[in-house]
Amino acid sequence: MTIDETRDGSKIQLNVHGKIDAISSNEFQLAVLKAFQKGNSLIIDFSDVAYISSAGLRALTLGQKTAKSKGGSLVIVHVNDAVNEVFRVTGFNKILTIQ
Amino acid sequence: MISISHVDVIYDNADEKVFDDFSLNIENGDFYLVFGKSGSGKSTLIKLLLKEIDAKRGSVFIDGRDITKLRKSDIPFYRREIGVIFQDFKLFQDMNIYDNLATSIMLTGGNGRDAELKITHVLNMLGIDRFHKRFPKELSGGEQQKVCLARAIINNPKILLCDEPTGNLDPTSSKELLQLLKLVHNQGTTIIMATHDIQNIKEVYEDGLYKSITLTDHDQ
Repeated sequence: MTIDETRDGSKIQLNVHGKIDAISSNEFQLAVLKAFQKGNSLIIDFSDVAYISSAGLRALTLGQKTAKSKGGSLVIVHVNDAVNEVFRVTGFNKILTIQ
Repeated sequence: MISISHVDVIYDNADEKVFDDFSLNIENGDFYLVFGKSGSGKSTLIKLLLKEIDAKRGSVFIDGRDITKLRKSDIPFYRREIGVIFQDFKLFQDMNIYDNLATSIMLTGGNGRDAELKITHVLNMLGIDRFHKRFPKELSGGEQQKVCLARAIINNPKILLCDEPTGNLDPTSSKELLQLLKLVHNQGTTIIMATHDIQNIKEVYEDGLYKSITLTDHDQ
């Protein structure tokens, strides 16, 4: 998995490429938390994410909590069908902001 | 037991309620079919039980707990107790069937240590053990839906929700899936299935196997 970052003022966008699995989820979580040190508004582009593990879901939940505590936002965009199914079946679509 | 009591459901930006003072009781172990024409609220009922949508009024008790009162953060824990299959089957395309099921075990709170045992058991039970090394694109729609059923029941949910599960299947595959659902029901799982597939159901299911409700517009 690789992550590249773009920034527009306080808005950060993380473009994630690959699988957020048990191995890469730590790196993903770190990137999310680091992003919130730079700004309050985070967009995570999932268009190139083929898979997310339970550890990845936990990282997103932590990111969501961080956003709330900072009065900011975390929005996930361009989610593919299979990953969207994961969000739906697990109920994380009710916790996370997915567009 | 599932007890839906005096529920109103209205979608945002809609003028009319989908459910207006709707009530329904479903006993543990029931096989409950929900009929009705398009727009009558079949999928809405499934979404209500899945906690995908909220009632504007009324209560939905499942085994003594009112799920209308669940906090958002509790929804993932609630969903772990529920199996669900939809009309459209979405599996991870670059994973074989074994890995798709193993992923599901982990994602829905199952214990990964006995994944192999669970996967072997469910694939054998559904008669699709030969699929385990294959990839979704190598399977037909009917075969993929069988895998989705395996995914839905792999953690032994008390309740299995099915939203038009045969909607995208040919008649032969539909009948095979209905037979498998009967098998799952025989294991003690409560099944609630929204469907318009009355013809195949009458051919596959004997009288007395299931209870049913036919929803009409603005059901009460």
